[in-house]
Amino acid sequence: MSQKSLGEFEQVVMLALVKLGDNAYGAAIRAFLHESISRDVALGALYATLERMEKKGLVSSELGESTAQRGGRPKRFFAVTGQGKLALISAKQAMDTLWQGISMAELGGHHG
Amino acid sequence: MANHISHTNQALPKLAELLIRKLGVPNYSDELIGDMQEEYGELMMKDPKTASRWMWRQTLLASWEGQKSLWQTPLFVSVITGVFTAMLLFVIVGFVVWLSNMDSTTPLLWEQILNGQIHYIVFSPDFWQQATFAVNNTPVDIFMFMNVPSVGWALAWAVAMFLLSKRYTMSPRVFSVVGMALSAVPYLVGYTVINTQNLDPKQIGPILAYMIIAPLYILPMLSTWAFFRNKGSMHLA
Repeated sequence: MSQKSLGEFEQVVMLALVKLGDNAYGAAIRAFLHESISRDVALGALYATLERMEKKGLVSSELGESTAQRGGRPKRFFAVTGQGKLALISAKQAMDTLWQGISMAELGGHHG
Repeated sequence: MANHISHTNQALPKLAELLIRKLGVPNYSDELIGDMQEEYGELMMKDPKTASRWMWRQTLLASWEGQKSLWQTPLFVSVITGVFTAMLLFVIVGFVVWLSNMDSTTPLLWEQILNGQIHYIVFSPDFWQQATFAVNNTPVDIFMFMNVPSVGWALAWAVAMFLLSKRYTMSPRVFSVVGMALSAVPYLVGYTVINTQNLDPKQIGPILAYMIIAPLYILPMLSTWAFFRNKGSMHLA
């Protein structure tokens, strides 16, 4: 396997992009992560990670519409590239392999 | 799934915008400010105090992330390596001229010389006074800076860095740190030898020369190499 492994936060952000589809811009990504996994992500950290992933070719972006509530500033929509999807699949396969045979009861946890 | 977007138009304070533009991640500062303004507007409708606290927290965190990104850029690493090199070269030249022309010195400095404690000497006001006098009043002879063991170590350093670069993918920061660490080996070796062997001053002199002149050869090589290595990827953002 030649591709570099994804960091935990990179995976989280990329999965959020996949879930949000065409609506994956900064504020929406942040809101989604807060609602779905109760993770309070700073916008600065989010954009720093998105910029880094864009330079690596894992995500792409394009400018969207400006709105008055944004002071006339455009949104920037992000999407996972083909290379990014391969990296996500690889990361999931690695985690699934490691998780095999481990039950939540063994860890003292519970589902949901 | 996405937040309900209200139609407020709550602008960020000018100071917050300025901090994000100047200190935040440069490429996306406009979009980040737009996102902040969206959420800030919503929060202001619910609780202005919470909104204000949230907004300043986001501003500080965005500024921090922007600066963190900057420190990791090849340009920044090259500049820091260059500045560090220039400072060390200045100190090394002063030390060599001082030591080469020293007739007498303070008892403390003499003791520190015999113990190889150059790292204490260079912080002594007496050293700087004497070194400044020596530099201004004695002709600088190029042979003061020639040391065969140092040439040997400098070549070994260059080969080691070349092989490490080939074997491992080193980021600009790692390359500079590894280069600096290897350039410090003669100093550590010399210091250990001086402090573990019972040497007389005539034997200590050449060791001191090796300790201090090897970095004199290596650091300009490191700085130049780091600059050309990073040149292709140097940008502010």
